[in-house]
Amino acid sequence: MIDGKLYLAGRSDFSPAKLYLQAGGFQLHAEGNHTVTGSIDQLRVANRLGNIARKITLPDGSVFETKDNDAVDTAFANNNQSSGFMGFVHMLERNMALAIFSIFITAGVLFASFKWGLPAASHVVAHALPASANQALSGNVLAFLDKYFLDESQLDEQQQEKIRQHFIDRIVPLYLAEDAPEFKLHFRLWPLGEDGSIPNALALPSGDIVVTDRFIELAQYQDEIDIVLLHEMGHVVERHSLQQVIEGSAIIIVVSMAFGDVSWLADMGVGVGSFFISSFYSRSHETEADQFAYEHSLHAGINPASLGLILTRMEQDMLFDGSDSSSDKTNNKKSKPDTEATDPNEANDESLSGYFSTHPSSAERTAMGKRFQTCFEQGLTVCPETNFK
Amino acid sequence: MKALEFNGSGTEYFKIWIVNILLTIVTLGIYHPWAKVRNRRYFYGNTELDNANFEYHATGKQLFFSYVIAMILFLAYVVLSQVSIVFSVAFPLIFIFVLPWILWRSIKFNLRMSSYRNVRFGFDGSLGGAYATFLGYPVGLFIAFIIVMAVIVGLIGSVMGMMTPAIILASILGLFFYPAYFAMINKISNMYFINGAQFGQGDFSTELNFKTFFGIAMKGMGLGLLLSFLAMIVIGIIAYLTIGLEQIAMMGEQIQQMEEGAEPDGMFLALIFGVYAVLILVSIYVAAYFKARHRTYVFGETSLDNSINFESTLRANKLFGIIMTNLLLMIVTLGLAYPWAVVRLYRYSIESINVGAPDGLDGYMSKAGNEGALGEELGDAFDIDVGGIAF
Repeated sequence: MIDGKLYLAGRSDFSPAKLYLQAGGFQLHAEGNHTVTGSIDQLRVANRLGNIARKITLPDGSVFETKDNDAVDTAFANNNQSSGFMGFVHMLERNMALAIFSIFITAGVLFASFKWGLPAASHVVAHALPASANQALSGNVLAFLDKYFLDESQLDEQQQEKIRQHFIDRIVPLYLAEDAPEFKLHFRLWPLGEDGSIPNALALPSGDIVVTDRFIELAQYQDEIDIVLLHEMGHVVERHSLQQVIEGSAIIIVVSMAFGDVSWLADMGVGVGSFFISSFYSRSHETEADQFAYEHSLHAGINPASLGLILTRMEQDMLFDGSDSSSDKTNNKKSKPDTEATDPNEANDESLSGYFSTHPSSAERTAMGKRFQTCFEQGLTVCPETNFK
Repeated sequence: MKALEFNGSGTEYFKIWIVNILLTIVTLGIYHPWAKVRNRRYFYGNTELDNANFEYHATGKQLFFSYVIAMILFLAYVVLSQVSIVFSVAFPLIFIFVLPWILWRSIKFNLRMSSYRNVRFGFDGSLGGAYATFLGYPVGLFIAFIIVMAVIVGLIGSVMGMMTPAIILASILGLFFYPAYFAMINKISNMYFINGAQFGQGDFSTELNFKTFFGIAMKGMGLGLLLSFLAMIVIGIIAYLTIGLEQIAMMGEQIQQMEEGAEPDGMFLALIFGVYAVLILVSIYVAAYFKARHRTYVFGETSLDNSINFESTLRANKLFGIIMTNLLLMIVTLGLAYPWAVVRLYRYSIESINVGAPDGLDGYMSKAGNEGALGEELGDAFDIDVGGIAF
């Protein structure tokens, strides 16, 4: 016998009632009202959730409601309705050990999918998409950059032409895959403050590579320019921009689903979370682009140490340029690179790892640089993973 | 008058919550609509008035279709807006015009899927009303404000040659615009929602005035400014005592150096952090103040069939205390305390509602009619709350 109350279909008034169940049939007695009988299969039992009042709907639409959840579970134990998938969900919900276990599974799955799943998936998806998807990303980016950030290059035409010709003749042919985009070199000035400028090189998915005047000024050897250009080509070939779009979208969707009910938390989560995660992913992209540059540099006889050297110089130029605004800029620019002039062929471990060691998480990049440097010194054109000192 | 009661517990909800997350992850998101239904059912089912509980009736299957559509739209938006700047601007613009329809469907659906004592709630507000409330007024008032400002500066300033008084007048108007705008939107949206809502055959009704909302908005703004001002004085004194005047004067330079990668000074970081923390605290307090005052006013003016009355005893200080301790709990437990935090907040906001029904609640009957779930899930996926409504 189950105690409860009976509501007639769609009405708010109710009367106390008792439900009897036996041998596949039911009998319902409502106080001062009426008695209903029928087969147990005609009753629709709501699936259980915590201890909220349970509803049993009768064939005529009236509703028997009870707080005695356990009695309902026992009475309908042999009836299919109360088991099924939602019965399974309720079983999970009742079990504290399972709930705690779920925390670890959830944390583990989330961690694994962010660390390995998402990068792998975005890599596969990015390469499965047609080249046009990759190129669509470039859109008007260069025009946009020109409008808001970049100025026309001040380098003389001859120098530009020389660098461009070298790039097309010597560097581009190093990567001759079918899906290779058409690489193009653009010279720009990226102004900073009144008379400073930023040394940088960046690649668009379309194959357009932008190098700034200050970068060319800082480079002391052709090898340094070449290896940076190879690094940028690596970003294009590996479709890193497309991967970033995929990864960014996935993060936004996951975070907003998990915290969907609390919007302020979702905003905070998306902001902070995607910052950390995307910087984590972009580090692995840098490593990949490095690897691309190193591998191809060996073929062309370019010294792998050049990459560490030029990157160090670029970073120090930025720090030096910005923090000391009062002193004479033109003087600085002339004198500074000289103090650091190091022939890449004489580079020692220290100068090689200089750039990477200032970025603590880049141990992997440093190690890779050293590995390729060793191969280069041994005159190899292919550097196997095992060739570790 | 009788108070609403909430019988749920954080521990019980914790298990439901974690199982929801687990199943959603395992099914790659497919379970989400079912998880949402279980969530809602838990909170509605444990909310009681006069020994009878509320109920949420939508099923996962009902929500699933619109969830899929919403996800596809959402995915398309996220991906395309990273690709195309034009699209990332155009899409929200188009969305603004569809939004009132989504909100309208969402309100209708959610109320129809809710019941108390076997009788369904309902909503008969018009679609035109939704467009006026969620698009016409918010955008119209803003445009009107810009026109008025332009006329003042243009006519009095340029044509009549009194630029200084024109600018002073425009500034004063600008200062009052935000609270007035806020008050007007609150009045309009609360009236649209409540006057459209039904319980069975019964109609909710309310008559709200702009003046009261404006008073609350002005007081809230004043409170926020006063609190920020006091906090800044305290921080200023602490900064003066600990790091001294010279350092404070060099703050601009310090920030610049940090942007260029210099190691920031510990005390200096603490100061910046302090200022941010205070601003966040003040804005949470002001939000709690608005919520409490709005609810007290709106509930007090609302009735069902002119015989059943409502009252809110929600207090800003207590609400603020709960939000703050919840925030601390969540930070300390890395988010695991979320279910307890949600239950505490929900319990307080439910148990501070009183209902007076001198003639009882018998005699209400459900109305017939069916709604699709499309609008509701669309709103959910785009993370839209029906803003400004006091419930």
